[in-house]
This record gives sequence, C-alpha cells and structure tokens, in this order.
Amino acid sequence: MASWGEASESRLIGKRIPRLSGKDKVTGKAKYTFDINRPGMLYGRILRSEIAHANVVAIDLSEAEALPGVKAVIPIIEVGKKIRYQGQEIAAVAAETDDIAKDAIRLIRVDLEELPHVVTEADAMAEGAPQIRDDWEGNQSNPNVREEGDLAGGFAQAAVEVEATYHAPVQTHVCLETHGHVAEWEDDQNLTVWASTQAVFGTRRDLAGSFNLPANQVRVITEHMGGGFGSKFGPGVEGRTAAELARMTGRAVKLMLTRKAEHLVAGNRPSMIQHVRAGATSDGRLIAYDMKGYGTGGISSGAGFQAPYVYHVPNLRTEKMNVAVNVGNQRAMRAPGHPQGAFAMDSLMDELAEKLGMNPLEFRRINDPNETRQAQYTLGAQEIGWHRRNSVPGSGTGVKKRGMGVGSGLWGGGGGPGTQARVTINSDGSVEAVTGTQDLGTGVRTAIAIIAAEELGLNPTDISVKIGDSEPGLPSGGSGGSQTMASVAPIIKTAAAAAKQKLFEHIAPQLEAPVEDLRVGNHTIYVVSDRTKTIKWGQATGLLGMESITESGQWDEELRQGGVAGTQFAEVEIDTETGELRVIKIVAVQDCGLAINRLTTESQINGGVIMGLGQAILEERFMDAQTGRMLNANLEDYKVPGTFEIPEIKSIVFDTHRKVTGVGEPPCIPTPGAIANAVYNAIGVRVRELPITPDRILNALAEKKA
Amino acid sequence: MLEGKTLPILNRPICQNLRTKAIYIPGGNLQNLVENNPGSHYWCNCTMQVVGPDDQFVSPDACKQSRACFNPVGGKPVV
Repeated sequence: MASWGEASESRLIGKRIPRLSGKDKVTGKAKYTFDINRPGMLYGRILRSEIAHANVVAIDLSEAEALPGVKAVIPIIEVGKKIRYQGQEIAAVAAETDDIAKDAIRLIRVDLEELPHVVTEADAMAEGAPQIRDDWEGNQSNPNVREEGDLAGGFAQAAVEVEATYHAPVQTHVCLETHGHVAEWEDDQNLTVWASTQAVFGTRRDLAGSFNLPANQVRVITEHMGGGFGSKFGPGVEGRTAAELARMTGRAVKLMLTRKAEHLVAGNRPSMIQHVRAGATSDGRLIAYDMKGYGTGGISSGAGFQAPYVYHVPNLRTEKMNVAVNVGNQRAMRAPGHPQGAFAMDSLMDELAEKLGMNPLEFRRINDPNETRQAQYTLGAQEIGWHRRNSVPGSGTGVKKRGMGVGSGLWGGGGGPGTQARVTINSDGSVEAVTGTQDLGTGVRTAIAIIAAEELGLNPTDISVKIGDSEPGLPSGGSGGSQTMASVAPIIKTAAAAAKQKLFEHIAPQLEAPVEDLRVGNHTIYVVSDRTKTIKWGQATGLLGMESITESGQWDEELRQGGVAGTQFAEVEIDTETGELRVIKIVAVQDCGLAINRLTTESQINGGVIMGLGQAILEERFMDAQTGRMLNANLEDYKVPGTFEIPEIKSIVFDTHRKVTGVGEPPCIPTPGAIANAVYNAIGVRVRELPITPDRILNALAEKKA
Repeated sequence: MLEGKTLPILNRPICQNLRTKAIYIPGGNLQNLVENNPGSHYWCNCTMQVVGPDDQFVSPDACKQSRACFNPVGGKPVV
C-alpha cells in the first residue's frame, strides 16, 4: 500500500518550490490560448443581443457577408426563437482582421420583437411581473425545503433570538484570460482546438459530439490558461462557433470573448437573499434556525447556497428558491454556494453571541463540531492578536476605528479516480511525466514534477511535465471541485514508483544487489546494505541503450482524502467620516491535507482570500431595470481588488494528515464573513449586505445615530 | 478513464446531450444527471445554452423522451 511517507523523509514534497512555469510566464514565453496565432488565421466575433427579452423575427447576414475581408457569417440563434438576456448570441463572423470582424457584426441586421423583461429579483417576484419562464410559476422555482428536529421546541429553549436579512449580490468570475478558443481543421475529419478550459478531455468530448466526430479525431490543447474559477467547462457557444467558422472557411479561427461578454454570458455567482430567525440557549448552544431565502442564477436555475453552515443546529427549517431574471446564466464559481452562505451564517453567529454577551470565538467553539477548526481558532486568534479586538464593538476612539472578526468554511475536495498518466525514463537520464490534466494557474505542473522527482531522487527541474493536451490519449478529469491535485497526484506517484522499480530491475545485476536493496537519491542509485555500491543516475539510465522505461500509474485511495476545514480572521480600519474601509490583515488558517508544494499552496490561499475580499468589499453586478442591461460590464465600474485593497495576508498551511485533498476553493469562503464581523467590531453597526462599501457603512452609521 | 471507477447504474434514461459541471470532474458521473439538483446549472451540448434545440429549458426533470431532441442513454425507456 502506497503512502506519502513521513514529512521528515520528504526531500521535496511539502517544501516551498518555485513553479516551473514562473519564468515563462513573466517573460511572456508561456503561450495562453489568447497568444496562439496560426498561419492564415481568421478572427471571430459574435453579435450579441442588447435586448434582454425578445422574439427573433428576422436576421439578415447579407451586408456582413459582402464586406471585403469577411470569410464567413453564421446565425447562432434561429428565427422564431427567444432572446432571454442581454449578451445572448445572435450571429458570428470570421474575417481577415479583428477590425473587419467588428465592422461586419455591425452590418448584421436583426429584427427583434421586444418582450417585457425583469432583471432584478424584486421585479421578478413582484405581483404582476411578466412571466419569463413558462415552466415555473411567478418566475420562481418550487421551494426546496429541509426540516430537521423540532423547530418550535428549539425556539422554546432559546434564551436569545436574532432575526435578520442578509444579502449577497451577483458576482462575476472575472477570469483574466477571457473564455476563448483557436480552432483549426487539418481536414474535414480532424479538428485541433486551443482552448482556455478547465477540462481538456471534457471539451474534446463535447466538440466531438457537436461535430459528430470520433473523440480521437479532436485534439484539445491548453498549455497555459488564465483562470476559470468554475466557468470554463465545455467549449460553450464561443468554442463551438470558432470550430464551425474554421470548418466553413478551412482556416484557423481565433474567437476570444470581450471583457463585456465575459461579464454578460460567461457565468456568475448567484445572488443570495436570506431572511433568518435563529435562537441560542443561555449556555451558548445554537438551538433553532429558520431560514427562507432565494437567489438568482439568471434565466437558469442553480442559485443554491449553504444554510445553515459549518455550525451544528439541531432544530431547523430552511426554504430556498431560485428566481429567474432576464440575465446571463450562473455557472459554478469557486466554492459554489459557500461564501455567501458563510457570510450570512458568520454574521448571524456574531449577532447571537453579542445578545448572549459572549465572545464570538467562544460561541463558535461551543457550536462547531469540527476538531480541525477548533485548533485553527486557537492558531488564528494568536496570529491576528484576537485579544486586541474591541470587547465593546465600536468603542474605539477617533475618526478611524479598527475591529476584528472571524469566519469559517469547509469543503470536500479529495479527488477521484479516472486520471491516466505515464512516466518515462529515457536512456539519457531525462524523465517525462505525461497526463491530460490542465494547469489553471494553480501549480499542478510543478506539483507533478515534485512528485516524480521525489520518487526518482531527482530535482523538479529534471522532470519534463507534459500536460494540457489530449493527444497523448491520457485522460484526466476537469479541474473543478478542488479535485485536481488529489486526482492526479496518486497516479503520478505510482507511475514514477513503477518506472523506478523497472530501472532498479535493470540495474540490480550491475550493482550485484537485490532489487529491494536499492534506493535512489541525489541523482544516485545506491545499495542500502553496502553504500560503496553506487551508480550515478545518468550512468544507470545509459545502460538502457536504445530503450526507455515507460510505466503507467494506478489509482490508490490511500493517497488521497476528502474534507477540509478553514478559518480566517480579519482586521479592518474604517474612516467613520468617509466610510472608507481598509482591510489591514487577513489570517487564513487553511487545512488542505498534504501540501505537495507549500509555496503554491500558500499562493492558492492568497488568491482565495483576494477573491473573498472582492466579494466582501467591492464586487457587485448592477442591472438597469429599465433597459435590462448590465451597467458595469467592464473592469472600471466592476471593481476587483488591486494593490490598494489587498491587505497583508498571512496564509497558514494547516497540515492535518499526509494525504492529498485540494485547496482551490475553500480559501475564498470565510473571508466575507470575517470582514463583515470585523466591520461590526470596529463601528458597532452591522452591515448585512455585500459588498460592504463606504456608502453602506455611512448609511449604517447614520441609521445608528438617528 | 475508468481505472478504479465504477459506472453508475442509471434507473432511467438520461439525455446524452445534457450537461452539468459535476460530470466533468473526477468523482463525478452521469448519476448527476438523473435527479434535479436545485444548486446545479444545466446546459445542452447541442445548443451550449440552458435551452435545448426545441428552445425549452433543460434539466434532469425537463429532459425526457417526450422531447424530440431527447438522445437517451441508460435505464429502461419510459415515456
């Protein structure tokens, strides 16, 4: 049975190792899909609806087709069908230059019969609202109800109660590399697509299905990609359109989404509005929880959120609904449903603790059944200096007031079977590790090198890692659910171990020692019982002559484990005259199982915290009810954290065991709740709506004063 | 892809063109398309949209043999 061994035995695993692609990325050598330029390549553009709800009456492509430089124009939606949101695809062009393509889409004539729209949850739920989904009643899905214990009995035991409404708006993914593809047909039966995707093999399967091709005649390449956060599974309309335009023209076509389209149609985190009444006993036990809430994921469903969250409540009733609006659809976004649920729950926990006259950290300790988080509370409190918080919220002196808060999170991860990989040792001593996974920027490439190098006694830079390409025919699952590392790591380790074993079998006679007596380290194979018997790595592999050793990996459940816990502490400073909120420091204590590379794990945690920070203080999609359009579909008015907003982040990799789990999603979960609670601790006024902007802070202060 | 993996036994046919994130990731499988999950997003691989070729919404509940575009796999056929 394989194991990752003890930490003291690890030369590389668990250490801080710079990512192998770092130099290529900072020098521009790394090629993202956006950077791919093929000989004779055309540029694709998509005409999108600016109307939120309409019937398509007519589409005339003739003027666009006649424009010099235009090579293909195709309709995407059929006449007679419905436009359901701004940004929905109508038609596409491929042209010699991007400018010609832009001109061409302006020449496409579209006749739309406008229909009444609703783009906010309140308008969609209002009496008399236009029905925008004929399969639902009143633009709302059937409620999803959960009941446990005895709710009335629970409230009867409660010494204190809190009733409040928490609100998190829609947040968009803001992938720095927009969704897009470069498609090229070798002939009418063989398609190659460079894709900015989280799922190389899933995209291959979907494109093969779209064009009725055998999957092995579609090649998908994703050497580097600039973020997906859950929004890049499958080719999407834009991927299939790029491939269709390329098929029609016989030339490569690049089609990347614009930043505006990225906001409109490439996914978002659904909103959450929850009204909750909860009670706790005098000794600090959360005893009853009654929540009714809803959210919108656009015209589609999927606006789920976690409630209650993390903490144990014996008596509860929850009722959740999806609300349909004429806006682009949600897609999975980093820890779907968790950050908004955590914000509400952690806010509620602090409100209950205050009514009990209890330290909110102590209240959590009583109600949190997770032992890992219990230990994290202690460590995080020490690191932030929890004793410095205001014992009476808002009691600081001066115009600028500081406060501290805490939030919590959980996640599954843990990976699963399905990845295939091979490790090859060549006679010149070089080593290749090949699999079909993709590196979203998380550092999987480097982790694969670390694992193989650890097993083979080499350095990570000695390993040539080949990923992000379906052509070797070594499938791997999509990168989602924080599953990648835990799915890939066991396969690479066992493949490297098998290749090592084969090499030992070749070398053992040379060293006149049994195979089981051989070890490798520091580029040298040696005999354990007689350390005078050694052979350098290159000498050993040279004996392979014209041969190479290639071995596959095997799935091993013992090398992975699901379930992680995390907690974060925030310190903020608020200018009570301007409402300016500055986050001073975040301490993130994050369980992630075995960290293969501590440096990139810390980087993952930093990234999650920054994304949570954006949700907490900046990010909000604004819809105009009159026009049905998004008002801030850009990066000037849709704010994401920059260097001015990002605080000191102390990322603590909280190793709990020696099995790989994953950490992509969980670090963004506790941040909004921790910041919201820190705001309350600073000014003594609760802001129950994200993002916590200066105007909301000033309004809250004004209401308190009034 | 199937190393160490057990294929789900689908108790009813599902549409081969129905998609949700869970089927793309390790540990996920077509069982995720048998029952509606209110927290999941569904789309159709024919249209790459949340509606199918017939312009009706797609989901495990909505994608049935009564739709002309239904492309079944697994389970016992039901109408």
